[in-house]
Amino acid sequence: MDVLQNLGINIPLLFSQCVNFGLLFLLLSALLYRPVNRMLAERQARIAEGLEKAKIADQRAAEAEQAYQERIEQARREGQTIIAQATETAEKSRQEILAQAKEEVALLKQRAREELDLERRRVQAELRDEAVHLAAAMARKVLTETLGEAEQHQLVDRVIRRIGEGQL
Amino acid sequence: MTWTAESLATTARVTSAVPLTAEEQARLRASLGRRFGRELALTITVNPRILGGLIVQVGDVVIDGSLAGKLDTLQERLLREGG
Repeated sequence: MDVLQNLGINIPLLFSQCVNFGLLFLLLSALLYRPVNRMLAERQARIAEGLEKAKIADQRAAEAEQAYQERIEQARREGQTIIAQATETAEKSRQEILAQAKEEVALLKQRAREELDLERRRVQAELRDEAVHLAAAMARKVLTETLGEAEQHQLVDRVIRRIGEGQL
Repeated sequence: MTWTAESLATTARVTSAVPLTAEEQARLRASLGRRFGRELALTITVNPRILGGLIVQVGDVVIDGSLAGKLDTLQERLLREGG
């Protein structure tokens, strides 16, 4: 005891201070430490909730991104389908127009051939008729110039004979 | 019996390219007599346009033995067959 007193330590004061410290500790524990712990727990819970929400939001964003990509891909496929159909339709139309044009050309050629053939036949007929008329005229002229008196009477005799035989 | 212009006709109208001799006329009358069964008088006309031979008309019957007739027939046949 003397040693403590020699060191300047007052035992009763020390004891009272210990008691005061204990009381202060109990008081702070009741009034400060528990609310702070509760506040920290709540804050941690909010942070955890925020992180969970962020995770959910991130997941939703990823899903939205995937859905968007799928829509983009679907739109791209639909666009390709439309382009393919349009190309097919255009090709079909082109083929139809080409076939129709070929048919019309063939028809025109056929008509031209028919008209040409008709004209050729008409000209041939005209030439043939003209040749027949010319030949008949020449025959008349030749007969007129070449038949003499004797030949004429021979012809008359033959006609008389044929009349008598009933051949004319 | 049917009475036709041919059966009633007593004259044969004859067209010749040259004048007929008497002998030719006689033979023609004989031939016509055999053909029509009776004697026919001849009325002869000379027309060089028939070219040769004879054309004889008895009533409605025409016997064309002329070269012009043969040429016309041939020409018509050629034109018809050609068309």
